[in-house]
Amino acid sequence: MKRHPVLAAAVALFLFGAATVAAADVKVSTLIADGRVYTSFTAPAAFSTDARDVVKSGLPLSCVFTVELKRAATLWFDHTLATTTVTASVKLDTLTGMYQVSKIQDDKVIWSDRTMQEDQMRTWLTGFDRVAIATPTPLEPNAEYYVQVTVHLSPRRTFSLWPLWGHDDGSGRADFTFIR
Amino acid sequence: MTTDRAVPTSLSSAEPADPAGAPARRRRRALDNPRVVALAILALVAGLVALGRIANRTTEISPLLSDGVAYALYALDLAILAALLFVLVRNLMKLWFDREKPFGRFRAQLVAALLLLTVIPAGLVVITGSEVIRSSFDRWFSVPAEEVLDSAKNLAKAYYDQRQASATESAHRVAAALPVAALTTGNVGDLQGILGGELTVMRAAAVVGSVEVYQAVRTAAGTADVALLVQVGSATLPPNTVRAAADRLAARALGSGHDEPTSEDLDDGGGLVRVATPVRGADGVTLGAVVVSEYVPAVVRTEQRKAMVAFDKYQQVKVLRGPLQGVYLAIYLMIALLILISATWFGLFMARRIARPVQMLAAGARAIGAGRLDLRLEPESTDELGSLVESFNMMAAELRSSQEKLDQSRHQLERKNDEVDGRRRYIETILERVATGVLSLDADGALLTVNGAAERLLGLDQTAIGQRARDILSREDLRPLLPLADVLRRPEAAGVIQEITLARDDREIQLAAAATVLTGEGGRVEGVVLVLDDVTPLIRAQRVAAWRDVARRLAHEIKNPLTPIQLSAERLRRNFQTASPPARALVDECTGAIVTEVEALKTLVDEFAQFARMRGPRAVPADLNRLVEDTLRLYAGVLQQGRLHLEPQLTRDLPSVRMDLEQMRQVIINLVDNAVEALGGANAPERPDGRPPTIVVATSHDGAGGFVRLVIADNGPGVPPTDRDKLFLPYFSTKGRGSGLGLAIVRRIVTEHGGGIAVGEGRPGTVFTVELPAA
Repeated sequence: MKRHPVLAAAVALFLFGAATVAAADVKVSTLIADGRVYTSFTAPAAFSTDARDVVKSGLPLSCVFTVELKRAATLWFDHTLATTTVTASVKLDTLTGMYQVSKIQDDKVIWSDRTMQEDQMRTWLTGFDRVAIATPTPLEPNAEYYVQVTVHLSPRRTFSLWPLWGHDDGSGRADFTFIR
Repeated sequence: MTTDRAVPTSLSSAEPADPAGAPARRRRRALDNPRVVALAILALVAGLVALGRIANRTTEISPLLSDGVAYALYALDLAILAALLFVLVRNLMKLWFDREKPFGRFRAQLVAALLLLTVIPAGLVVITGSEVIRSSFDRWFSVPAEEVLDSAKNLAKAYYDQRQASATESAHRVAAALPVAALTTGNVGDLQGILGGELTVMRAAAVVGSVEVYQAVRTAAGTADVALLVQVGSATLPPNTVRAAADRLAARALGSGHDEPTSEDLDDGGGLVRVATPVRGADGVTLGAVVVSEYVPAVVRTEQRKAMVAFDKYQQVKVLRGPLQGVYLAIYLMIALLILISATWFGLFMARRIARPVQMLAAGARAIGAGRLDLRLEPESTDELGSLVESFNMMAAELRSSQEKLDQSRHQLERKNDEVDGRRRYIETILERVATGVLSLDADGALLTVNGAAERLLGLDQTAIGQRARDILSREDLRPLLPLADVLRRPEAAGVIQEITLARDDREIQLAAAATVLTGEGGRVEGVVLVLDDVTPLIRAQRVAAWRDVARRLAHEIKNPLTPIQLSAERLRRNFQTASPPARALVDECTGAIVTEVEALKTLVDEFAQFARMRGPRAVPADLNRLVEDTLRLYAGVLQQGRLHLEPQLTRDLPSVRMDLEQMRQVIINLVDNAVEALGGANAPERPDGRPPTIVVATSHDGAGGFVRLVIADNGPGVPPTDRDKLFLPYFSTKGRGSGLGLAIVRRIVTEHGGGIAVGEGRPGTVFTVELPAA
C-alpha cells in the first residue's frame, strides 16, 4: 500500500462509500413481474422527532422518495437506468387531530386517506408498495441491478450550509439479478 | 519662423510610473465606475426587496423556508463573501507589491485608513445585527406568548371536543334506541319518532343540529354502501349544509366499524361537527350508521379558527425556528456583506480616486521636469481633483508657451548674435585685409585692437594688445604718433587728422593718420580709433607724375632751341673755315663743344620724352625664362673677355607670364646694366672678399602668391639703405651721371604689368626682385 498511495486512497474512499450504503435505514424490496421492476420500501426511521414536531405544528410534511434503478460499474460511477420520484405528504388538522395523508407519483395523487392515529399516519407516510419503475430499455437478462431509494423530508428543522451535506434523511438499496 | 511643435501626449492613470510613454489612454474598469457598482448594488437591493414582498404576501412560510431559497441565500452570501475577500486580498497584495513604487506608501496608508474607517464599522454592524436577530428570535418565543396562544388553542379545542363529545353521545343514544327491524325493513315511521326525541334533547341543550340514519346496502358490484333512511334537523340549521359529507362519513363509519368524527365548514362562516357511529345488530353485523351533526355558530367558529391558526403559526415558527433564523441571518448577512463590500469598494475607490490623480500629478511633474512640456493629463473626474488636474494642465500649457517664447527669443538672439558675429568677423576680416592700419584704444588709452596693416606699418604684434598706447608709441620710430594717442586727454577735439612721416627700417613711411574719439551716451568717452593710411606709394606716384610733367615740358622747351643752336654752331664753324688757324681752332673747339653738348642735351631730352610718352604694354603670354636667356645672350660678347660672371639660375617649368617682350627685355637690360656698372664694368676686378664679380639672374615661381619672380643680384658694394626708396624716383642716381630715369622706367614697366619691384641688400651687394603675375 505504501507503494500505491493513490490506490490506497481510492480503496478507502470505496470502503467509506460502501459503509455509507450499508448503514441505510430504508428497507427496500424488489419484485420483477412481466419484465418490469416493482419496488416496495419503508423508512420508519425517517420520521424523526423533528419530523413529528413539524407535523404536530400543523405544517404539511412531505417525504420525497427518489427511486433509482442502477447497474453497478467497475471503474466508474454506477449507471442510472431509470428514476422515479414518489412523495407522501401529511397535514394535521390541529383542531380535530386528524392526519390527512396523500401519496403522489408523477404529479398525480395515487392514494389519500385520513386517520387520527399517529402510528397509522407514520406507516402510511414512510412506506410505498409496488412502485413501478419504468425503464426505457428492457433489462439485460442475468445482469446484476440494484434499486436505490433515498428519502428527503421537507421542511426540515435543521439547516445545513450546503445541500450536499446531510441532504438526505435516509437511503437504502436492494440488489437483484434480472432473470428472464 | 517655425518652431517644432510636438504633438501633445496624454498621461492617464495607466502610466503614472512611466509618463514618458504615450502611452494610450487606458479604458476604465467596470469596477472603477461608480455607476456600474451603484447599479449592481441597486439590483441586489431590489431583489431583496422583491423577496421580502413575496414573503410578506405569502401566508404560508414554507416558500420562504424552501431549501432552494435558503441555499440560494447562503450561496449568494458565500459568493459575496468570496468577492469581498478577493477584493480585499487583491488590493492588499497590490498595495504590498506597489509599496516601493512612487506614492506606494501614501496609497497604502490612504487605503488602510479608509478601509479601517469603513470595514470596522461595517463588521461591527454585522456582529451586532446577528446578535439582535438571535435575541429577537428568543423574544419571539417567550413563555408568556406561548402560554396565551396555548390557552386560546385549548379553549378552541375544548369547545370542539365538547361539541364532538356531545354529537358522539347523541349518535350513540340514537344508535342504541334504533330498532334493528326498522333498519332492515326501512320503516321510517318508527325512526322519525326516535330522531324527533333526540332533536328535542338537542334543542333542550341549546344545540342546533341534525340527525341522519343510514341503512347498509350492497351495490350491484357487491361493495358495501349506505342509503339514507331518514333525516331530521333543527329548524334554525342553515339550509346549505352538504349532505354528501354526511353520506361519506356514514360510509366511512360503516367501513371502519367505529366512530368517525369530522368537522365541516359552512358558507355562513359557521361549521358542523359531525360524528358517525355504526349501528350493529344482535349478531354484531353492521346494519347502518347514525350521523349526528351539531352546528357551531359563525362567531364561535371564526374565533375558534383564529385561535387555532394563531397557535398553528406560532408552533410552525417555533418548529422551524432554526431554518427561519438561518434564513433571516442569511438575508441580514447578505445585506451586511453588501454594505461591507460597498464600504470596502468605496474605500478602495476613494483611495484610488485620491491617490491616482496625485500619483498622476507627480508623474506629470517629473515628466515636465524632464522637459516634456507638451504633456497633458487626462482628468478622470470633474470635482476638485479634476480641477487640480486641469490647473496642472494649464500650468503645463503656460510653461510650454513660455518655453516656446523663450525658444523664439533665444533663436532670435542667436540669429542676431550670429549676424553680429558674422558682421564682426566680416569687419575684422576687412580690417585685417585692408591696407589701412587701424588701432582702437579704450577710454584708459589701452590698445584694444591692432589690425594686420597697423602691425606691418608700425612693426607691432598681438602682444601690444592690452598695453597702453602711450607706452607703445613712445618707441623712437613711432614717437610722431604720440599726439594721436593724446587725443584722449582732450576729447573736445573729437578727432585729429595729420600727415606723419615715420622712419622705420631705414626708410621713410608717409602716413595719413586720423584719430577719432568714440563717445557713448551722454558724451562719455569710450575710446579712440586710430586710422593710418600708408600714402608713400601715392606720394611717390604723385612725384613721378610731376616729374613726367616736368620731363614733358623740358623736352618741349629744351628740345626746340637745340636744333637752331646746333645749326648755328655748325654755321659758325663753316664761316670760320677761312679764318686764321688760331681763330679757326678756337671756333672749332667752341662749336664742337656746343654741338657735343647739344647732342647730349638731345639725348637727355629724348630720354625725358621717352619717359613722358612711354606707351602702355602690349602684353602676350610668354616664357620668362626664354626672354631672360635671349636677353642675357646679348651680354655674351661683352662679358666674354672680362672677369665678370653672369650666372643665370632659371627654374624650369615656369608658368607663362603676360608681358610686353620689348619692355620686359628693357627691364632686364636696365637691371643687368646697373649691376654691371655697380660691379665696375665688364673688366671689374675681384671683389674685396676675393670672389669674382658676379651677377646672378634667377627665376622662380611662387604658386601660393600666383606670381613669377625674377631676381637680379650682384655682389657689388650695394645701395645705402637711405637711397633704396629713392632709387626708383626719376633723376635719382647714385652714379653721378646719366638721367636717373632707368630704374624709374623699370618700375613703371613692372607696375604697368601688374607686378612689383623691390630692392634689397645682398650679402654683399644688391638684390632686385621683380614679381609678375602668372598668366
